[in-house]
Amino acid sequence: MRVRGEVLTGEDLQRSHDRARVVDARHRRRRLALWWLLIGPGVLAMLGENDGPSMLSYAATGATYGIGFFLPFIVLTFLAAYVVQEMAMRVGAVTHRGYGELVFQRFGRFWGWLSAGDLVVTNFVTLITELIAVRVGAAYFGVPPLVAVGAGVALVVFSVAGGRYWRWERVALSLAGLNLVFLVAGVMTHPDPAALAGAFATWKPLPGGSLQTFLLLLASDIGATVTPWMIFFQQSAVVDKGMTPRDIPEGRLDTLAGALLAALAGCGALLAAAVLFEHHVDPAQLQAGTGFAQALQRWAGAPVAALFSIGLIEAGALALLTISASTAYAVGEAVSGAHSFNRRIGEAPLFYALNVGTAALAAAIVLIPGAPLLSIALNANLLAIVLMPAALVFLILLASDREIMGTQANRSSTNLWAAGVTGLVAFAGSAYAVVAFLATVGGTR
Amino acid sequence: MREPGLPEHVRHIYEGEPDEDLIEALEPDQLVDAMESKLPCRLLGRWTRTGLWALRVFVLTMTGLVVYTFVASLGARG
Repeated sequence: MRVRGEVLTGEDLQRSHDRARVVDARHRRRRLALWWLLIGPGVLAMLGENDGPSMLSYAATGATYGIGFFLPFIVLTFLAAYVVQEMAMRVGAVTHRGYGELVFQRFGRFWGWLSAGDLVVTNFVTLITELIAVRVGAAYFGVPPLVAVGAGVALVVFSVAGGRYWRWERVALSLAGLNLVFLVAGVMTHPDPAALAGAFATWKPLPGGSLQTFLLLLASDIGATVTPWMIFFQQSAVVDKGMTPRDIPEGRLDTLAGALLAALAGCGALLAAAVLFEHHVDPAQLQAGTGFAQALQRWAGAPVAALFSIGLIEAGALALLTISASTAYAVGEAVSGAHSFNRRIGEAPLFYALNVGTAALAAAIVLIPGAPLLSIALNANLLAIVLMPAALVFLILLASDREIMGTQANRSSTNLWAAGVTGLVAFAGSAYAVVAFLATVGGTR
Repeated sequence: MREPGLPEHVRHIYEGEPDEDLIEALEPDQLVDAMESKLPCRLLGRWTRTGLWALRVFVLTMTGLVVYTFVASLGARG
């Protein structure tokens, strides 16, 4: 179809409907309406990363160390995530291209395929862990694994039906709010206000015990907030939503709101599980996730255990949507195929097949009896963390590139913050990878 | 049917006017046709190229460590 000399697709028309509302809200100076229309990619990236493994990681931290160093550390990691995701949002709004697309076009095929390949593998394994979270959470309420996992896949199918980005985003957002049940669970354990204030003021007590456990939890908590899929997802979602440089202030607010909500929920999970630390419950017995609800039921009461289980279901379900979407966006960008929720299924078959297919395949694996799920999950997270510095370096290069970003390119201060985040992630990831490798070599000799 | 109460710039949203009006809500470089055009490869300085080679070595080494750890842990299970 041609309008005023431009070739228009159905995707353009769908997106223009959403943009017309944004233009109208801005014209009428309706700030709340404008924010409501533009909220989405930032909140979904941040709360999507508060997924099953992340919440279990925060809970494991609380059960291992109680209230102390890691509480303000979680808030710090989300501030780091804000620095990263703000860049992804800005690059998407200015260039109207996804992260994977830009890495291919600006830095060549090696980095393009490495980024996309790494993402597809780690996302797929992460999807397995999301379905484990859904299964574990549902098991607390007596739901059989087949029903729980099947419902997770059905949710993905429901969310993508409709051929509209706006619809997909609102389905995902309606789930995202439930992440705050972790905060409610944390508050219901009645944490000591003096201990909370002391932790935020002094970052104490410092973690003791084994270095490997400390590095594992440090790397896991960083990996629970700053990951490659978030960059791919938010940048592609910003493009699919149709955001422009004029929307950057609202995009920042969206990202900041997501970071704050996710930090609150993460701290809530830590606080809820800190009860187990106070009762000297052995965290090693809780690592697989199945033990948290039972332990919380005993030491914090059934309502806290039920909220924790609901939170796990939500965390897994939301991440199923966002992580499958990020895989579909990344592959679509890598092969230059159609990659938008604003396309009909027939117009973007690969995009929709990847969205649903990866979730369905992960579900099939979760249901295989005796599969080494925990080992797969831990190593997938580790791989995502050690590959994150590369993703960050390219994001910084893209966001600083005046040829494509113009006046929206990174300032020196932003680059300084981003370099600090990259250094922190590189240190934590590689330190744990080396320590785990040495322990494995020592153990297998 | 036109509703006189509606401002001109939003009529198309409620009255289903032609696509020409709707499409004005998009920036020209936001149209699918424009987004599909390729950007040129970035010209990198010597320092950046060296840094990217170092990054390549870091990524491949770390991936090797993680894959070894994973395979060894599977072997230990078996």
